[in-house]
Amino acid sequence: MISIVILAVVVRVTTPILLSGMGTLYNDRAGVTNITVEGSMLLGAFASVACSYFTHNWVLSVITAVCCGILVSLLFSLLTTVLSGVEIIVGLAMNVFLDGLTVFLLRQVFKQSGSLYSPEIVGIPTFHFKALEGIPILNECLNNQTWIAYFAFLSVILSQVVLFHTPFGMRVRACGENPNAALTVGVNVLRVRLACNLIAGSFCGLAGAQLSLGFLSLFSEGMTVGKGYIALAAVIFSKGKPARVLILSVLFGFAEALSNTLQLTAIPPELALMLPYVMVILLTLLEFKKKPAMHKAEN
Amino acid sequence: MKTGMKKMGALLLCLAMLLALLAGCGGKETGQQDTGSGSSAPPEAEAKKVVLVTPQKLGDKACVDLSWAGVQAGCEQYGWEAKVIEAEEGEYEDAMRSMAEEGYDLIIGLFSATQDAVIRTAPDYPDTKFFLINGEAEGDNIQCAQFWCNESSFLCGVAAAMKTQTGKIAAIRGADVGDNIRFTAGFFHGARTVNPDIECVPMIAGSFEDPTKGKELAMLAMEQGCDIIMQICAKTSMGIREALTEAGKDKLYVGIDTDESDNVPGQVLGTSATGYDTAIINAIGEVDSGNFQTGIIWHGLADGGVYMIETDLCTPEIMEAVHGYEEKIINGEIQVDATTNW
Repeated sequence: MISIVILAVVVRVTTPILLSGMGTLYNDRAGVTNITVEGSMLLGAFASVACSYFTHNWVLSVITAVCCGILVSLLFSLLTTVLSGVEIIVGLAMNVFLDGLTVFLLRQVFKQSGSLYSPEIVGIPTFHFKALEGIPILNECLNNQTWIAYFAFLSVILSQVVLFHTPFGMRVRACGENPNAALTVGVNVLRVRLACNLIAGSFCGLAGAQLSLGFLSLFSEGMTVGKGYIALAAVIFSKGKPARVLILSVLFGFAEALSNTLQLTAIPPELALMLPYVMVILLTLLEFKKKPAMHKAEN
Repeated sequence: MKTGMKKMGALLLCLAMLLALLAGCGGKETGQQDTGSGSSAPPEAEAKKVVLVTPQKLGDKACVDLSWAGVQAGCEQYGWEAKVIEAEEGEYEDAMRSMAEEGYDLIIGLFSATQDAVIRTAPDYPDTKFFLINGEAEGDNIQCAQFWCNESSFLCGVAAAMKTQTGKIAAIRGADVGDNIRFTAGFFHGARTVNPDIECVPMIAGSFEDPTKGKELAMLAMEQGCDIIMQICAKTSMGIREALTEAGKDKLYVGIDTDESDNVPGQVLGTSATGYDTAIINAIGEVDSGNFQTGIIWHGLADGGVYMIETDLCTPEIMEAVHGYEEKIINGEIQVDATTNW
């Protein structure tokens, strides 16, 4: 029943989780507790579809999504640093706000409710490599995916290099581990944290574009269905290592892909649908003895 | 920022929030939409009012849109005012109570999700009539419409079994609720009556508003070899349709409720239609004339409450078979499965 074709689904489903997870990793390393991942992805998804509806151009749509993600992060930064808001509360409030904002905009601008679907919406094209068709596993993983999927997996290597082998990365890690020491040495902690926030925001916006234009070419209210929180879970359990974020994101993606395939077996479908979320709980139990290292924000 | 200014700012924001709450308090519901009254309502006589309380959002191009179309048609015909409330889970009862308080003459609860709300609200407002679709509730002011959708999906199953090239068909439902199960059971029963060896793949999406899931499941079904997919999941079916469009002309689609013949051009085998709109128009008419029937009324092929809409893809041979089975169901020769047969 479970054929190798599931790998293609895994790659596709993992991409938004991995992308927003990698972005949030920067925040985690810098000591910022930014949980607006879900809202950022949703706004990115909506913005990219709206842009595609008007401009029929997927490049502009992706750029719009990234900009929206950056805007969300900017707002979050403003509320938490300048106005001294509590990060978790601001994050939660912004998630609710952004969910409502997309619904509001959907009805005001497009006079539709529930979802925006139109043949005018241009989706992100997928890449088809004829050379790969013969090779079994690589064909499933690498063929017929959008460039965002390739970028998501490449960003793991990129982040590993940036975080551990560049001066910027060192500053980021310093801000997260001991911001007072970093300040003493002359690192502008606020500026570094803002930069990380913007990186995270842009990645989340991109993930949103992948969700709405990468697979389906439509926007549906609440279409992120908790993927942002799953990405957060991946980052929390990763203890700050990009490779671990990759492994965890793939694990969650695999669980979701598997939950669809399990429907074909005798396992009750409701149990199968629970699978990704049960994974998170299992991981929590496994990590129970060791303390998870979500760096506390010490402003 | 000076502390004084911050305090002032915080106070102003609180006041703004309070005002926003009061503005919303006018009707005490969430996500409401107002629509104008029917064309023939005289200004002096107060027009009767009907409200549709739906757990799923409008814009699904399926059952909810169909029901709303019925409400609007009924209002135009009888000169009523229409309103729709897209309620969130847990708020159905509040929405119904506030509408009853406002003096609405007919409150329509859509689908079994609103069943509890109707059961709890109706006894407190004996002058308001309640109409529940796809649910069961007893009361002097409650009418329930249930549909033998398995009878119409049986006919679609017959067509599917005769049309399939691979001998494998799938049915993707949203949840394990009564009407979803009836649709699926009827579809499989009809298919097996024509071809006992046909492989029937049941799938559950878990949501009526998740197109991504619909596309994933449809693609999975096609990988397994299914070439005909029936949707029983409202908005989730948008994903199913997209998957079928990408798969090509030899993969076919069976829709439900509204006429889906044009939804996947060239690939729709038929629709198992359900007369939600007719039932609603009748209910409005009954309240208007004062003859509101109470109790649970089952609609099937016999009274035209459900029917199959065929397309050009149904060959004359298929249509002959379908009509034959239709007669047998109406005169009781065939009892279509209504519960899990997979």
